[in-house]
Amino acid sequence: MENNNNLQQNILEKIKAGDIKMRSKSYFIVHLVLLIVLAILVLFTSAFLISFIMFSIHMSGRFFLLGFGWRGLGVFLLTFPWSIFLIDAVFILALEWLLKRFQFMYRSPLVYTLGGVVLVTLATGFVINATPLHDVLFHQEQRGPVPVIGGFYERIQRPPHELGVFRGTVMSLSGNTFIIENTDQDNDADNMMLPIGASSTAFLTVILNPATPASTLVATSDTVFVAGDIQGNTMHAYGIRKLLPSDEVQ
Amino acid sequence: MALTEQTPTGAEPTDEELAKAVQKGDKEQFSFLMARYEKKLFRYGRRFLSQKENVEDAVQEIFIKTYQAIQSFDSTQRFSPWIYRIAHNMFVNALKKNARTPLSFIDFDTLIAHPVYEETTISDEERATMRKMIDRGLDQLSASYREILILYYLEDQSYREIADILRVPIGTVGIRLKRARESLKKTYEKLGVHYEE
Repeated sequence: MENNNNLQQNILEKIKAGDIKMRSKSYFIVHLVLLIVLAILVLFTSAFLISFIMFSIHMSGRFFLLGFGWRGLGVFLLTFPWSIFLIDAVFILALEWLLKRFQFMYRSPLVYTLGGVVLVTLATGFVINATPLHDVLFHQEQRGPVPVIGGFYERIQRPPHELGVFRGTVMSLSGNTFIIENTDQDNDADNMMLPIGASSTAFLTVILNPATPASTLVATSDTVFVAGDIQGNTMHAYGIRKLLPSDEVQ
Repeated sequence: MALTEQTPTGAEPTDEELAKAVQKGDKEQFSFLMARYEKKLFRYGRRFLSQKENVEDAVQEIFIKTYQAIQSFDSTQRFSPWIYRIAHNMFVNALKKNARTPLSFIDFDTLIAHPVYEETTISDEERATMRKMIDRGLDQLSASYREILILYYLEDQSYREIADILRVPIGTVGIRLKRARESLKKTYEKLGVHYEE
């Protein structure tokens, strides 16, 4: 017990001598404010990445692959921006970790809190996606490099050509085939022609199922999104989607 | 000013009142808080830590951290879970420092809700029996089971308070306590001692 009294006395003496100092209330308030600010920053970064994934899928037209059956789904998954998705998952886990300091979070099971964090992040991502933020950044990047995040928007609108996915303008139709012109689709001044594969031409002949006349699906000047097996400048399509004005790059 | 551990009405001040006085600058009142918690923290530390860790150093460090952080204590809440939280962190760090294998405090019971394991009132007799058993059989248990038995049976913390100390859902406290009791029972069976719940 004597030892114990010594322990108390030692500490009290150190406190009185000023060797042990009490941290001020403002220290803890600043700490709490910084924690909240950091959590908000992590939330918005995570939501920004989610909204960017949505935006990039929309801009490249890869969303339409989901309507092209199993093959379309396969290509969609192959070309999904998994690296950004994984970075986002790290941010979501970081947010969960930061918020676990609060009673309302640690008193609930992880499944619920993590589910809640994911839902809030997704909802914020949808809200960001509904704003013109990505459109503005995308068009700024078209005019000149945007610092830090500009690289995200480079070639974002181009579908995965190497996997047989193209977007172009219908130039002519004949029977069950039509020809599209493959441009960069970004509506800037150059309207650059993009060659198909190793060829030097930007024209692609799309062959449909023999029983399907092309005129029942598309018309000249339509913008279309097509996926299929490529041989030279010819594609045997397994999926075609005529783009509406709302689907196209603005 | 003479040290006093009594309020003007003659009643003993609560921990929270003492903490509030310390927050306002009355350093002497901290000695009463130390006096109240020293034995408890030593008991918690001795049973939770193995022989290798120095409990006295850890308790001293707990009091220092408590004093340094006392302005972050909300005096409308109970003081006891707050100081036990500091102690928990200190003891876990001490265990980690000396552990040969990485110590895992990840509990998969925190993943989902366990509404079945609500707090039940236990009799004084049952508590006394458990205390005796804990005295004898804790060394064989894992750190997380050891700790929850100590907090509940020796330190008289409620489920809610333990949830705040360990920062886990209340349902997890219930299921972990149940498993710790079962593990203690198995330990006794291995030792050939009859276990009565």
